[in-house]
This record gives sequence, C-alpha cells and structure tokens, in this order.
Amino acid sequence: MADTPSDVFFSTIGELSTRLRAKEFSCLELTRAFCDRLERTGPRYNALALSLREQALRQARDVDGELKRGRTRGPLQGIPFGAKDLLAVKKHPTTWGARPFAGQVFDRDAHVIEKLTATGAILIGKLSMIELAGGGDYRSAAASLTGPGLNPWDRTRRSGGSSSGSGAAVAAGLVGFALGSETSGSILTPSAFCGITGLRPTYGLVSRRGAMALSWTLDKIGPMCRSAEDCALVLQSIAGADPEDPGSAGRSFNYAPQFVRKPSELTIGYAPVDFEAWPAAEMRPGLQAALAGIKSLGVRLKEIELPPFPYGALVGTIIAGEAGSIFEDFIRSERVEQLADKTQIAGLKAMLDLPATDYLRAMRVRTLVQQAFRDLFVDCDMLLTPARMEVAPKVNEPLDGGGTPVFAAPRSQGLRELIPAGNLAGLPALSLPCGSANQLPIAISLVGRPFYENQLIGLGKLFQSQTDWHKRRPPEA
Amino acid sequence: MHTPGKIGRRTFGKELAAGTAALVLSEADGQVPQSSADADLRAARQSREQDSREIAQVPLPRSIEPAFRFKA
Repeated sequence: MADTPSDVFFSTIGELSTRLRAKEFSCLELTRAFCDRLERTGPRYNALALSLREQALRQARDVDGELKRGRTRGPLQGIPFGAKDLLAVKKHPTTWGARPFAGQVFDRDAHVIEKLTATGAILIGKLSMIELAGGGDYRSAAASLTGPGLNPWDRTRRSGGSSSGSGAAVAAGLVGFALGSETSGSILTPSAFCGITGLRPTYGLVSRRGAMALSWTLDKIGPMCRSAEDCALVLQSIAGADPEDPGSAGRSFNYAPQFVRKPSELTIGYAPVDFEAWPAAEMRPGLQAALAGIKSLGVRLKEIELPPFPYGALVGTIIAGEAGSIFEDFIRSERVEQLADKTQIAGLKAMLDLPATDYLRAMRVRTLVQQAFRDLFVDCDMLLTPARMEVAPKVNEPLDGGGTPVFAAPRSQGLRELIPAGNLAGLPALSLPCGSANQLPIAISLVGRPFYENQLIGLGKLFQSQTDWHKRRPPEA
Repeated sequence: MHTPGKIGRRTFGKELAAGTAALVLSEADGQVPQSSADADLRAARQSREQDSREIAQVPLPRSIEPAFRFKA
C-alpha cells in the first residue's frame, strides 16, 4: 500500500473489515498506512499525543496470522484506532493532556483498551486532549500539553474539547475510529465541530477503569466514528459490566438493528426555538433542513421545553466537588502551576473552597432532574436538538469572549441546555453531522432515556442513509 | 432559575464551556487575556458562589436524597 488511496482512510469500520477479509490489503499494510498518516498529519492538528507504531505493527502481524488461519473475531478485528490520552496504555506515558503528568506510566491497560484489543482492533496512537479534560473551567484552546486542538475543516478553528485529538483524528482520516470521554460535552462537542458521529453512552454502560477520573458520577467513555453504525460496533465491544468500576451498571450492549422501532412508532421531543433562534444565524438553514429530514422519516414531533433547572451550575458544582477531591493533593502542590491554562489553575484551586452542603444540594437537585427526565420520557421516546448552537470557534478566541458584548436571548430556553442536563441524568446521546455553515460542520443530537442506545443508533443510521454529511471530508484531508 | 434576557460575558463563557451557549462570539482581537493569579482565583470563587446561589433557588423537599447511593 505504498500509495494508499485516500478513500481507505475515510472508510467505515464495516468497509475496512470487508476489504481486509477480501485480502485487498493486509492488516499490516493497513496499520502501517494509518500509522504513517497519523504521524505525518496528526501534528498538523495537534491531535497526536503518542504514536504506538511498534506495538501496533506487532499486533497487526498477529491479526494477519489469525485471518490466514480463518480465526475471525468480529468487525473490529484489524481496524486501527486511537484513544484519548486519559486512557491508560501500559508501559507508555498517559499524560491526561497535562504537563505535570507528562511522565506518568501505568502498568495496566484501561478496561476499554483491553476490550478492544481482545476484539483484534489495533491501537495506533494516543490522541490529544484538553489538560485534565478541562475540569477546572479552562478558557484557552491552548490548554493542552500538545497545544491547541486544530480543526481539520479549518485550522484557524478549534477541534473542540476535551476529546480534541479524537475529533480531529477521525475527521482527518488518521484513525479508523477513536475513543473519547465525556463529563459534560466532551464527546458531543468535538464530534459536532469536526463533522463526525459521536456517541455518549448511558452512564455506567462502559467501564472507566484505567481512565482519568474527573467526576465519578458524570464521567463516560464513548466512540467517535464515521457513522452511527460504527458507533454501535465499537460500543458493543467496550460496553459491559466491570466490578472494578463502582459506577458500572452491570449491563452490556448488543447492537440489534432488527429490534429498532419504526420511525412511525417514535415520538421525538424538540423545541422550535432551538432551530430558529438559539443557533448562530448561519447555522439555522442547515439545522432546519435536518429537522425536516428527521420529520420526513415518519416520526411524530412534539414540542417540549426542558424543565427549568440551573443545569450549568449543577454540573459545575458537582464537578467541583468531585474533581476537587480527586485532585486535592495535586491542587495543593506546586505542580498545579505547571498547567497551561491559568484560568483552569484558578478553577481547580477554587474547588477546594466548595462547602460540602453545596455539593450535596447539587446532588439532591440532580435527583429532581432525573425525575423530571423520567416524566419527559413518558410522552417522548427521544429528544432532538442541535448538537451545538455555534460552529467551531476561532482558536485564538478565549471561551469567555474577552470582553465580547452581551446579546439578547430568546424567551424560551428550549432544549439548549441538553448537554449539561443530559449528562446530569446520565442519558445517552448521539451526535450526527447534518450540514455546514461557512464551510464548517454542524450537527444535531438525539438523546434518549437510559440504555436506549439501540434506538438512537437505529434512527441515526436511518438519517445517515438519507444524507451524506457524515461522508464529507475536510478540504485538506 | 434561568431568566431570559441579557447574558453577561462570564455567563456566556461558562455556557460555551458547558455546551449551552448560542451565538458565535465576534472575532477576537487578541490573545487570551492575561490576568493575575489572584484575580483569576477571585473570579473562580465568585463563579462557584454564583452557581451555589442559583442552585439554592431550586425548591428542594427535605425528603430528597442525593443522586448517588452507598452500596453495602
């Protein structure tokens, strides 16, 4: 594969698997081609934390041997992938995207890495991330050991955090798929900004053992891929009970498209204001077309609004309480000053001042949020909203706007706080590319009740059978 | 809990980080604002306190337990 056709790098897992089995190329050839591309192009987007070429090529030779002997292990066998650098890979640095942890090495793979390795998937690299997953309320895109995550669609724009490298690497065709993690938005945001399909699983469905803990009650690990079906294949491999993760729900996930309900049997909650007023003006035509596209599948749409809770404040307080405890020794040490983002340093220090009563009050209000979502899902099967209300921001733009003027907000809140709200309730979400605005990707997200992944993926797959936004490539790639 | 209307700069930044902000900010003129560590810490503490004040406004029956359980 000296001159690998570029379509290989943008193939779905199913396509790559078929071509491997048809012996169009060997696993070793495929892995070497992806490693070359990841090492050559990854730094262009600050997406690569660490190449794992040597162990990947060894594993690829093993897979070729298995395929030769007719031993098949499923669709992920032989597929090169990347993992966010908060996941432990034994004997290699796991930096959590942060300079103070640059030399950190674990002696055991994270649970999800073990699971994927067992399916024959080939880990070719660790992917960049916002330092400590941005838990300290970062502001700058440069809040990362590897520099600002750049968007393959426009390198003056952010790839989104905190799974910034995972988003960019999938979008630029540097890996077959990637793993990301989400505490509140870190899979959905880079997926939306980079034009890929990302799945945030139900809390507890995927073990976090071996992943950096930011918030015990909010952290999730999930796939970032080229299609909804790819997300299903990866989720199927990484989900499952794990006694070593106290948050494990003890459930597995079996992708079963035959059990997906017909669209005509589905009621989807949405808010018109989310498509007409809250998004940036240039995004509205694409988002409204996507809404019409979902409707044309035959679903019933029902207008709803999120119950009025201070979702952002709740997420911030819960992260502060839990991350403050997790990182207390680090925060009290001088090493915290080595972080790249000064705002994040201050945010981490301020966590130590949070009264226990404030944390517990937030967790009690969270119980009300969960009850409110249970009520919401009596009348709706899933919720639909733009994945983000803005396109990827400029890299040099601080998240607090640096003195940007205020703007008048619509009166209805719609579902615009569904990212923090859905994370508080532990709900699964699927981000689907649905258009572009100013040559940048835009996306919708579907959110379901807990353990509703099969239905979300089913509808996502149907939507992607009618559109080609998930197949589009960045101009440079 | 959320009053529609004007959104301030800091709130907007927090919402953007949390995935809830609505509009793209105007082009940045410069780099990340440099400020002293003390000012950053003061701002972070104020932000935490503001969050707590917002949460305190939610009516909360005494019988409601936190959204986690100790498992024996």
